[in-house]
Amino acid sequence: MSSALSANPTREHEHRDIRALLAMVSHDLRAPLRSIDGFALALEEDYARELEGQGLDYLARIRRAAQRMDRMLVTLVMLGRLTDRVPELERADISHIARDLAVALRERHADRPVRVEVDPGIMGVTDRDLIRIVIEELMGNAWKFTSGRSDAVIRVTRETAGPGRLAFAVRDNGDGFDLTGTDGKLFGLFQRFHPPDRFPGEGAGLATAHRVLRLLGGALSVETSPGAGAVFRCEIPEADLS
Amino acid sequence: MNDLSRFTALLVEDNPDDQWFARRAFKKHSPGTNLLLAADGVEALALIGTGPRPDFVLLDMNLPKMGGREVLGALRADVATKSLPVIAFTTPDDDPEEFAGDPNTVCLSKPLDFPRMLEALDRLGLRGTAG
Repeated sequence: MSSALSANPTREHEHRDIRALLAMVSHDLRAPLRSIDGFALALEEDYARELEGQGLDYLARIRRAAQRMDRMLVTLVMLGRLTDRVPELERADISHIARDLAVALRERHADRPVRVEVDPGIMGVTDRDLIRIVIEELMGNAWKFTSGRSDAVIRVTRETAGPGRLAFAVRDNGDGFDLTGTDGKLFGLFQRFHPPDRFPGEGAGLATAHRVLRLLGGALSVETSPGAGAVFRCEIPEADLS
Repeated sequence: MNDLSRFTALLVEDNPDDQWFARRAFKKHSPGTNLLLAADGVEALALIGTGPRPDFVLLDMNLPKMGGREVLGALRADVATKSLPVIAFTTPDDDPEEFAGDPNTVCLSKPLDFPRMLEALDRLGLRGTAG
């Protein structure tokens, strides 16, 4: 599969174009933003006394917007880099990856007691780094949206799938979403369905998981309703290593 | 914070705003540092070859005439500068492992954050020698 991709000259050109575009975003588009944020900071620091409270508030808003846009550009570059790569197939222990990520999440958020349960023996043949990114985004998402619960539980479960397919799900008992009217937008980049003060983030996690799964020839689907938690189901082809 | 006062630093940067931010940061946190400036890679190498030897280099990767990577390559190929401490300003588009094999190079992202630069200089073994 990978050799077929790289042998295609049109694809090679596309890859090169995408990489050039990403480099342009990374260098040229972020430079003016750095100037906006940097000079706003200089104003804030050097002219705080001359500026009234409202003036300082305007500056803080300028800085927040510039920083948010910068984070979005960084996300765009990372996502572009990810989806520009050719998956490398190998044996992947999804249960092990999930348990590993649970340890990392607990270390990062020691203040929150979250129970994580992982079904044993979820194994597949896929790109290990890419599937790790998918699980990381989904578990991070679940972690975030269970923050309102003291009895938060995240489960990574094996799911039934058709022949030649492998499925697993990341389930949480968090806030859930109202899917009405979101048609397809849930996995769109920078889409947010909660007020940012409640659940921070740029709205890139699900978009990343969705795109990476697609790159692996798989799919992401969701079942959720307000107050009822969420189930994110991942399905990937059960590739043959031979 | 003034423990960089005895040092000479070379900033290799073509963007005038980024030059200004760096100058401002040094003026604020370490006014005693002798901050030299080169606006491209060719100028940087000429300056290092002839002028006062900097104690460390702040190197933008995206430079006109001669890129940051070529500058770093030239520095590492020269006996006199092969272990000169370099802080390379990389972007998320760059490979984070690119300079992993070079113990005298640390990567940071822009904008220049003074406390993080000091940490990086510690890792490069520089500040310890200043006492």
